[in-house]
Amino acid sequence: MSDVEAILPAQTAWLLLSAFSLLWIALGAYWGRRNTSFEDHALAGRNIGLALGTATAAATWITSNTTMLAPQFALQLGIWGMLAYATASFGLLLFAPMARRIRTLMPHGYTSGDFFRLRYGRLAWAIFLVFTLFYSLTWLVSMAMAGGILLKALSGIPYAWGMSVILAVCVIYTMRGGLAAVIGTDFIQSLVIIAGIVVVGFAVLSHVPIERIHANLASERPALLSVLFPAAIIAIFNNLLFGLGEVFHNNVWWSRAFAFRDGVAGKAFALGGLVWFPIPIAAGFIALASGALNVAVPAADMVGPLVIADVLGHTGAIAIFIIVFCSLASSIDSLLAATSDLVTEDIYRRILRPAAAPRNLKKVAQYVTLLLGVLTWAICLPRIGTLATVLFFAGPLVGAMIWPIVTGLYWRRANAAGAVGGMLLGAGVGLACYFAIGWYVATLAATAVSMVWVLACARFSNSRFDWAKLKETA
Amino acid sequence: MIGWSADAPVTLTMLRNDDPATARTLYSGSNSASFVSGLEDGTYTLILRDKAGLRSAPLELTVIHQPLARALLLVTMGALIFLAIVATILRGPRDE
Repeated sequence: MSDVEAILPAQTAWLLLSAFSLLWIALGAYWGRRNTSFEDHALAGRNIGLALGTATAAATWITSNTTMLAPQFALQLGIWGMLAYATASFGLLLFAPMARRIRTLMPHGYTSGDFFRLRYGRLAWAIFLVFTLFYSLTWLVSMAMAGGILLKALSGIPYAWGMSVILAVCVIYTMRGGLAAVIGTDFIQSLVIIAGIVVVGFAVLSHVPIERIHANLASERPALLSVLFPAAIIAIFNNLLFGLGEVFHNNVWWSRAFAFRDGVAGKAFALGGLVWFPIPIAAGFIALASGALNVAVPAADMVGPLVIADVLGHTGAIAIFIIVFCSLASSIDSLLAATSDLVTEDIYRRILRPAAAPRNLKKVAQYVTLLLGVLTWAICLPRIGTLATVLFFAGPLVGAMIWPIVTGLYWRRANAAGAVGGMLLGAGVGLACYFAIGWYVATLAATAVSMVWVLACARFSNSRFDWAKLKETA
Repeated sequence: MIGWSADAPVTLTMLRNDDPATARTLYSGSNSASFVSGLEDGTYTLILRDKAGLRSAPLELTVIHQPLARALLLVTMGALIFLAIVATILRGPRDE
């Protein structure tokens, strides 16, 4: 993120930050008041309905990347770039039937780690934990860092203060209210984000007709309109597979599948995917209009806020500040909750204290949330600017987990050798491609190698998994 | 991204393959950077001018897109993997 002139006075920004912080903390305390056990805290009593379920699926997937990186993708890779970003919705759409299957196979499950442990054994489980904790921590750190950087760019609030406030607020209400607070605030945050993006999209269209946007792009940035723009078409499936890997493996999504009421999970993820799909397209469209609107863009990652501030003035600056704050909070809280549940269930309960009481587990999950927050804060404070790149580095890791998960849920003949080899070989080849060729082929290569290995192992396997083993009770 | 340092407002002009007829203004103002994207293959010359008409040394920029054949190969590979994932999920449990 380059240094550009702030578009919102710091005093207004602090006022907004304080008001929304108090609102989220108050709601978190209110929604968490009935949590007594670990199941209440981690899975909201397994009683989330369709409206909240749809909203939390969409809101969690709307990160600061969706509102800030989607415009950057459009400005760098054009129409295909915009669509490539939107393909991340396939992660949610395809997870819908998987969530139904997960609920049927694992009615008492808590985490995605439970699936790996019960389905493939301890070695595959250990590899999964290393991969997923690396991915979750880098995502969490990159979101918190993005929070500090964006608030500074938008309003001049010092990086350390912006990052600390966002992180502290999310830690407090997630500790107090658990998944119920995360899902409740997600509902409000998703409404704010969607309304904001729709208003901004129409405002841009009312300022400049689509013909002028097309004419400007055709004369000044012709490759952005090209159907055969090589870099853009390469990005499509790499991005799509990255999105699938992120959703299929991460406990953020599995914990929701376990938390939704019976019969809700499939519909909620499918609707969440459909709600999410147009968001990056609308955000990307804003960037493509920058030339026709004569908005000077000093850095690609600031194109969204600059166009919005130009079109809507002071109101637009307030709108983008609120949208960014909501999209950051809706992702950070989900990651904190899901990662603390994973550590509590898979490490504390299954390895360290198998006899721990449910009430103690809730306390442990709260302390783990606090520890994760402090750890994230300590990593973010020096503002190491390269952590967004580290998140791309996780692409091969998540891509290599797609086939072990999909076949493990549907095929009895899928086995531990396939899962372990698929994850290690896929991640290894993917990382080699990351360094030898580039990020844009790393996830694709990892998924391809993992697929070949997992399918070969399943083809020659004589074992038949007993699905009843997944129905483990607490 | 193209960056510069200047004390006063500047104008950034770009022309393609040294053809003056293609000259166009990319940016005019007090910023110290401008983002360029979506250019076709070719050689581009960038020149910075201040209000008094003082010019910077021209900056040459060559754009070479990645080979289309490689891109289409990767797209085909990605599409096949994606379709295999979709088929596995939609087909459901196979050997229960």
